[in-house]
Amino acid sequence: PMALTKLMQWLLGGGCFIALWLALMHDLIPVELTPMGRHVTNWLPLYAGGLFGLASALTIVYRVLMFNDCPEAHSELVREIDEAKADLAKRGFKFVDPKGDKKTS
Amino acid sequence: AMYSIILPTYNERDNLPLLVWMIDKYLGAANIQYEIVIVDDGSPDGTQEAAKQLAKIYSEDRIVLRPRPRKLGLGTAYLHGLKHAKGDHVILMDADLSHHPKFIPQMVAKMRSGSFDIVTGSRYEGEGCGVYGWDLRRKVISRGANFLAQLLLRPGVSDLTGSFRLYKREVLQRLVDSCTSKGYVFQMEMMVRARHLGYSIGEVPITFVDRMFYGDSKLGGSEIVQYLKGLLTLFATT
Repeated sequence: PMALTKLMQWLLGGGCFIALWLALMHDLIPVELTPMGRHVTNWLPLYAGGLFGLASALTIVYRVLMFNDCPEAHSELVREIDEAKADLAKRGFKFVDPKGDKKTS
Repeated sequence: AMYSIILPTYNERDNLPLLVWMIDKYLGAANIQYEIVIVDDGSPDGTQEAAKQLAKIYSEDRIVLRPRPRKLGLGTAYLHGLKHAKGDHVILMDADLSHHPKFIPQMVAKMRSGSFDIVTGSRYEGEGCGVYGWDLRRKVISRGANFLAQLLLRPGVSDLTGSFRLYKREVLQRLVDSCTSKGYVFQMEMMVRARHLGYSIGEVPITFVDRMFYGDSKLGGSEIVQYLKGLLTLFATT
């Protein structure tokens, strides 16, 4: 059996949500709703979307703030580059001087 | 086990020797049998001359130069490299020193201990991961893009656009043969297809040093559009 694409999964999920919502809107589901509950149900897609958008934005902000900068990785790299240049020169590697394109040893 | 590091290069005359030195240092210390297959796309700056010098210093068996006449794309560079690679495992990484070879032994160990088909470096998750050199704008774009990709694709991999990965050879061959996107999306597509084909993927936290030596490490509007297009294509087709 062929697996559903992610798009199909979302359409299916979205379809179920809308079907459920429409059922609620047309009183097809026997459930007691307070006036507040009624209001939320009427605007459910908007509230759900808004909540989701807010949660997403907060998640992204959090992850940006918690981002791991790693300055030690940079300084370690700079040190190793110097070590590498010295060792390679010893082994006979001829580096190209970027300023004059002349070979330096 | 023999590890082939396939390195597509373009104008890396200055970075290549340093990278090779570091690879030799860390893989040598870990007793890992390796070769470096350099796929240079006709660099005008002397990259191939540098590679030839390195082959003299480190041996022709270890430094394998297999150039191409001009820039022909990353996917085909990997294919080209695979044709000439002798290893049963392949490591893909960037040639500009943003990826540090010290993580390769960790990836090798992870692959062994978890019997994974693929081990990917992750800049975003795990103890010790990180990125150096990104400003706020870049971080926001990165986190936002990753959030979207996780939401839409649920890939089971924390760093979808990363390009520092260890593969079993036949796994990589199969993936490169079946992936068609370009740029960032190519790396994403590989992971998504890998999951679809049932391959297991392990992760190792890595540090990524964005050196911005080219002055412009920014992500432009067109690259963002390409990314979104690619993401939506993967969303709709996998």
